Amino acid sequence: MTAQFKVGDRVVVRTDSPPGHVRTPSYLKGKHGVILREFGPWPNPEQLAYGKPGWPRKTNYWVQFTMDEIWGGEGSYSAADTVVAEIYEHWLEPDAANAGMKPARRRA
Amino acid sequence: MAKPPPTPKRKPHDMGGDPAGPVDREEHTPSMTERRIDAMMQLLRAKPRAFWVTDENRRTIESLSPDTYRDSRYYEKWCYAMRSLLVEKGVLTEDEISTRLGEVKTRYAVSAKATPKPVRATAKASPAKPVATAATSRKGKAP
Repeated sequence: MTAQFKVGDRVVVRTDSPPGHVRTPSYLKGKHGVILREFGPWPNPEQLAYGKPGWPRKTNYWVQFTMDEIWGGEGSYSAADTVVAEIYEHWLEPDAANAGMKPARRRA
Repeated sequence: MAKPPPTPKRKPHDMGGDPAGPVDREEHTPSMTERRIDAMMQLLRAKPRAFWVTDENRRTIESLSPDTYRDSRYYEKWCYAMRSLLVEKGVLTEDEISTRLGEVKTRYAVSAKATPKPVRATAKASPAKPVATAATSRKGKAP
């Protein structure tokens, strides 16, 4: 199984709301981020949650988001901070519009 | 405060961005009840004949009503999950659980009457004081 994305790729989180157990938090749906790390294929937790074996496997990634992207200036946070979330491949789409952008700098 | 979420059908655990307030970071020694729930969960999920996996546990806890989810403590949620998964997996039936709970409640009421010390009536009462004070004090102070 080949990973669809590689480190540095810009992605956008799908906005679907399927019934049942999902492993993608709502506050990240529709948000644009960048692939920080790729963890290879894992049993799909959204299938495991119903006693199934989790096939087909889904590649899991760390996806990095800027605070501005998520909160849009509302609330108090440091703009230098980022959020890194584990998101499975079927929840991600290529962010073609921002493909050439540099990834956000990670906090030291 | 966050923007309104893109979907109104969020489950109670999916609370990222909701108004929250400060995080309570106070630690407490696990009560005997909490230890027992933990032990039961470990046994039910022990390989090679685990009855369910962690993902099923999560799914069940996420399916609690928003009120129950908000008002239940960590191990209470585990308890609800065990109950519904045991029924779902055909290990126990609702009838068996109800019958047994009835017996326990009767016994509990009788022993509570006979004992001068008050027993914890609900799980929410005095959250800072674990119910296993007597058990832990036998072995000296907890670390």
